[in-house]
Formats: sequence, structure tokens, C-alpha cells
Amino acid sequence: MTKFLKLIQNEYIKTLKKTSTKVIFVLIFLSVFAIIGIAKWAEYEMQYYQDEYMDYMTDEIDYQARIDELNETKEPGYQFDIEKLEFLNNNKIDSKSWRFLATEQLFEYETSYDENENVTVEYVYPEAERKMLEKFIVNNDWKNFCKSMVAVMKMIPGVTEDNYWEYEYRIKNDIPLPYSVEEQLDWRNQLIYEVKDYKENIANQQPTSSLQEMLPSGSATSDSGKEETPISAEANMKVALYRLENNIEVNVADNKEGFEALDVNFWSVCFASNSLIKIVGMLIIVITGGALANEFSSGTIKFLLINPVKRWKILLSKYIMSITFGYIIIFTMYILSILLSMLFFGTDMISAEYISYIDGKIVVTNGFFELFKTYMLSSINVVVMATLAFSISSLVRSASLAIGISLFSLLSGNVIISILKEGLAIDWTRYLLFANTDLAKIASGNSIYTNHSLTFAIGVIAVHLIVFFLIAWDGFTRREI
Amino acid sequence: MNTENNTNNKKIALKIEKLNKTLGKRHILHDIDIEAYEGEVFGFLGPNGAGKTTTIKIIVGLLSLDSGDISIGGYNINKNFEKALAGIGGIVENPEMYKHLTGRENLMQYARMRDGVTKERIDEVVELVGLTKRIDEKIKRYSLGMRQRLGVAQAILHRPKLLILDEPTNGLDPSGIKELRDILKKLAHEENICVMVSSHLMSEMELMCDRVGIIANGSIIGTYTIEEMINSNSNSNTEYVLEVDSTEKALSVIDDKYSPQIIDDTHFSLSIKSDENQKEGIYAVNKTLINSDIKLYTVTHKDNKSLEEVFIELTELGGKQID
Repeated sequence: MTKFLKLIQNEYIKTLKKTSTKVIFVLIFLSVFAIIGIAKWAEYEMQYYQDEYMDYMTDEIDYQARIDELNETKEPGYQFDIEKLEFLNNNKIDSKSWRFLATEQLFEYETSYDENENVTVEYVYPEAERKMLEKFIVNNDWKNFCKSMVAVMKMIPGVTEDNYWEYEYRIKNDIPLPYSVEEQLDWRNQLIYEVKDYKENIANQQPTSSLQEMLPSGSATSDSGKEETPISAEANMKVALYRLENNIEVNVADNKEGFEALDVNFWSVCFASNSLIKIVGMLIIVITGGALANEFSSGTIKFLLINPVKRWKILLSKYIMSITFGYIIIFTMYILSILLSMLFFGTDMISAEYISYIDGKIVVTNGFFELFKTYMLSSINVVVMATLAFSISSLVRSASLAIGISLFSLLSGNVIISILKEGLAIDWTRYLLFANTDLAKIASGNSIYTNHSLTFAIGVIAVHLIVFFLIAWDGFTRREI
Repeated sequence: MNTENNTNNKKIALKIEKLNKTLGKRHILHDIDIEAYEGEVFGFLGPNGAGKTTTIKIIVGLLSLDSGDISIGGYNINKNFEKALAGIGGIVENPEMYKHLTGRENLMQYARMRDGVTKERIDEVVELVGLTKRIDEKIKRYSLGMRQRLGVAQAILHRPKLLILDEPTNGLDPSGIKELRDILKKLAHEENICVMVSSHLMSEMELMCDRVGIIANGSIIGTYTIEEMINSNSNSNTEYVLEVDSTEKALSVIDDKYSPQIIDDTHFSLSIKSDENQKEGIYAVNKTLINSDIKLYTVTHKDNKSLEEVFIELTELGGKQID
């Protein structure tokens, strides 16, 4: 055993003293710095767009101009709109405050056509209730507005608890309706909108209400651009409710998409650095391809194999070196990206936890643990690439050829898979290696294949790895030098 | 030609029996039998392409064998690979080292793979091959001669009982060749290890080896001691070159049985049959010349060439047998 460890030590010395290895280390460091740099730049850009957005949102709406416009076009129901605009205008209602949105809701009307194409326009809310609610808007009394709103909505047929959940919740928890854009963007209000959005969608069985479209799609609510499955929408709502009840501002899970999470903070930068593991995969090909094939091309293999050590031990020591080396790089990246994120994006979020909804339960885990888990899932890619390079270099005996072929399959593999699957809809490609290497994506349920489980992916990878290793083994132990 | 009396009481370091090897369609080795003993320098002699390197690669485990048996220090190479290989040190073809490492780092690589190599042993070996001053330099700055020395250092690091060197004098300058020769002789005769050296140069073997095994076209032609090689020269004659003041005068007095031949005005050659007494023969020639008042300046023995010729003769003979 000690002798075997010495073999691994030999492999490490040979690899670490190479100039190419030193270059690779520098590249890894640079790439982590590059991620931090990109994040800083994105943060700056985002700040810029947020300012633009605020400017746009705080622009006063010219109610009078709209009234004039409506008088020109005379679309069905224009009188109703004019009435609303006059109410807004007369009471000097700020378009950024809840009072504007409440007015919008209050003056909601329905347009219907009979057989003779005659138009009937009706208010959704009865006259008396409307007048009462108007009073609260004019008096700027959000609490009573909410209370009455609940009472009024209960009377409307077809309206369920889900439709007025927001008002009840605000009264119960004393969370005022927002008065400004800044308040709308507050994490609590964003979570309320998220829950409300989900509940109303369920209640109305329609994609999005007109009221929701007017609300700013927030920064704290993730996945706004994505189509959500009912399960993940429900999960998001449960998590949002849990956070509201437990007063948790930051959820690490919201940042797990890295830069796609639409927010630049400590956690999203940490998760974004996970994408660098693909680069590590490429670099590990260079190291592994060299470890075996360079011995052949430089002729040192003869001096290695005349030692009293069985060939399979030499092969295994090289393989173990490659894999552990890959993991050392990944650990270094993990630590380095955390430290640099702390340095550049502050430490106020580091105690945040990862909240998710799994199998009907809220699960709260440590953020660093989840980050580590993501790293480990992605690291499988590195193991696969190292084994592939290893098997090819055992077969072709030339470092450059082994590295070239491995890199080609790494780069083209994913492309070919996605063409076959998404272009030609060939589903059995799920059994191919490159359909399964992105474990982090599969684990989060975003695979391009339906019913793609982590166990299945790991199984496919394991079969491929065993085949690769046997090829390397056979090629090396039977080879005539 | 019997080697028994020479090697009777020595331990066998390497024993090859009925070794056969086919690479592709070519039958490279035919029933090779070799025995080499501890404490001797064994020359493995053959023209290029005779199968020397293939045999050596099979001994050190780089190639597999088709049939036959090889044992090193009593351990069979197939049945007891690690123990058999622990008794071997060697250089196969060129001494390729890790160019990005220093000489010492290279030796450390081998030290870790073999048992019982201490730091002191490394220093000792480096001293022996004369690399002490340059050992901490990277291999890429080494000359071929220095790499050859490091190769020898690598090979003897773990005190093997069998040291196999494939054409070790390749690329060495004359003084380097002499030093290597001395090192190998010292290792064989003082440390009692078996040194097996392959070469295609008879002259080199003659100065270094105690015995030579001759291989041609994949078959062993024979194993001889150097004395036997010289004495085996039975059907050829020993040649001498004589320098005199006038070859014309000299030739007129020399007996024709010596078949004298003029080289130039002052040099001529003659040969004395090996069945005659060499010393008496040359004395008789001297006496004739002096009695005839011819000035004799030098007498030179030309045996080197004839050994080389023996070798060529033998290997060509071998070639004829096979095809």
C-alpha cells in the first residue's frame, strides 16, 4: 500500500513540475477572478437598468391627456375608463401608490356582446360597494380598504378565498399596501405578489390577470421568465409563504441559477462560479492525456515499466492522480470563489439558508452545503472527461491526439445530443453519455428529457466509465512497448 | 568451445530457455538460450536487427514472450513478475528521462518504485557515475553522455543482481566509453553482479566483456569467452605488419610460407599460421631479416581486425543457417 501511495506521489511530482500544469493553475485562478469581474460589471449594469426602470415608473401619468384620447376613440366602455381617470385626476392619486392599483381594480368592468352585436358594459363591483371603497382610497386608509374589499369580494359569485388572500394576509400581519415603487420592490411585497399570483392563477384558471401584468416583475421573485410546471409553481408559493411567516429575506435557492437568477449577490456569484467546472473538465483532459500519453511519446514508458511494479498499478496510480487532481482544483475553486465573493459582494448574506419544497415538505439546508452539492454534481463531468482522455491516450499513445479527441467529444457531445433530442426528437439518446453529464441540471429537473432521474443519469455514466476504464486497462496492460 | 570450466561455481543471474517471439508476421526470435552469471560482464553481440533489443525488452518485461522461460535470480518472469523485476536494472534503447525534472528528481522517481533505496544510496550512485556536480540540473540541459550516465545510475540504484544495458556506449565520447567500461567492470568484478551489455561492435565487447553471446537473425550462434574467440581463429592466420628500411630487400629473404605482402616502401605484412608457434615464427623472421642486414624498426600484431572478422564470419554463417 505504501508502495502504491509512492507511485501516486511520483505521478503528482511529474505532473506538478510540468509547465502546462502551472499554466492550468494560473488559468483556473484567472477564470475565478473573471467570474467575479463579470459579476461586478453585471451588478453595475443592473443598477443602471434599475435606475432607468425607477425613472420610468415614477413618471407621472397625465390623466387628462388619456381622457382626451379616449374621447377621440370611443372604444366600448370608454365612459367607464374616463370615469376612473377622472377619479384619479380629481383625487390627485399618485400612479406609484397602492391607491392607483386599487382604483384600477375597483373600476374594473366587463364587456359582453349579445346576438345582435350590441355591447353591454358593466362594472364588476356593485355601485354601493364601489362608493364605499372609493372613500377609503380617497382617505388613504389601506386597512379598511382591505377589510371592505374582502367583504365585497366574498359577495361576488365565483370568487374564492384565493382571490382575496392578499388583503386578509395584509390585515392579519399588518403589512401595508405599498405607497411607492421602492415599497413594491420590497422583498415582503414581492413574496406576497408571488403567492397571490399563484393563488389567483389557480382560482381563475387563467395565465395572468391584468392587474398582475402592471406590477413590476420583481427581483426577488425568480423564474419570472420561465414557464413553470404546476408542481414547481406550488413549491415556489409554499417557499414564499414559509419565508413570509418566518421573516426570511434571503433564500439561497433563489440564486442557484447563478447569473440567470437575475440578481447579483454573494450567493448568485458563488453559484455562477460552478459553471467554471466545465473549464476544469477541459484542463483535466490536458493533464490526464499527458500523464499517460507523454510517457509513450517521450520514451520514458520503458523506464517506468522496467520497475518491479505491475502495470495495472502504474495505470491505476495515474488514474487516481488525475481524478484527485481534478478534485483538488474543484475544492480550490470552491474556497476561492467563496472568499472572493465575500470580498467583493459582502458578507451580510452568508448566514442565509437554502429553502426548498421537496415531497410536500419545506426543507431548510445550509447554503454552503447546497453550493458544495452543486459543485460535486458538476464535478462528475470532470471525472467523465478524465476517464475519456485516459482511455483514449492509452489507445492512441499520443498526448496531442488524446487531448484533441477528448476535447472534441467534450465540445461536440452536448451539441450533438441536443440536436438529436431537440431537433430530431430521438429519445433513446438519453442512454448516451453526454445526455447525462450535466447532473446539476438533471437534479434540478431541467433536463431536456422527460422523467430523467438522477439515478438513471448516474447509472448511464457509471456504465460508460467502466467501459472507458476497461479499454484503458486492456490497452495498457497488454501493450507491447 | 566450452564455458563450463570458467563459470562452474558461479550463480546463474539470468537464464533464458527456448525463447520464441513473433511480432506481427515476423518470427523475430528462435529458441534463444542464454545463461549469464553473477560477477561477469556478458556481451550480447549481434548485427543491427538481429533481435538484441527484442530479447532485452522481453527480459525486462516490456514485451511478452510467445514461448520459453526466463528466470532472473531464480524467479520466473511470468510467475513472479515483481520479484523477478526487482533483481533487474537496465537501460533499454536510449536513456529517456523526464526532461522537466532534475537528475536527482528522476532518480527519486525510480527510488520510490524500488525497495531499499536510501538518499545516501542515491548520492553514492551519482558519485559513481560522476554526476555529483550536475545532478540538480534539469535533464533538458544534459548532454547525451550525461543522460547515459544517469541511465546507468538509475539502473544500479537498487543494487540489482542483473544489470542490462542496451548499447550503452551509444553517443559517448572515447573517454566516456572508457569510464563506463571501468564502471561496468568494477560492478561485475567487485560487486559481483551480472552485467549484460548488448552491442553490434566486437571491438567494444572485447575490451569490456568476459563472455559474449552472439546472436544473428534471431538465433544464438554461440557463447564464447574472449580467449576462445581469439583462439577460435583456427583457420585464419595471425597477421603482423613489419617496418623495415626496404621492403624490396626484405621480401627477397622472407620465406614464402609467410605469404608476405608489400604495403608501401617501408611496410609489409606477413602471416604466421596459427598451428605454428607464433613466437618462434616471428623470431625466425626477425633473425632472417637481421642476418640479411635489413633494418627492422617495428613489428605490429594485427589481431583486432581478425576478431572483428570472426564476428562477421560467425554472424553471416548464422544468417545462412536461418534462411
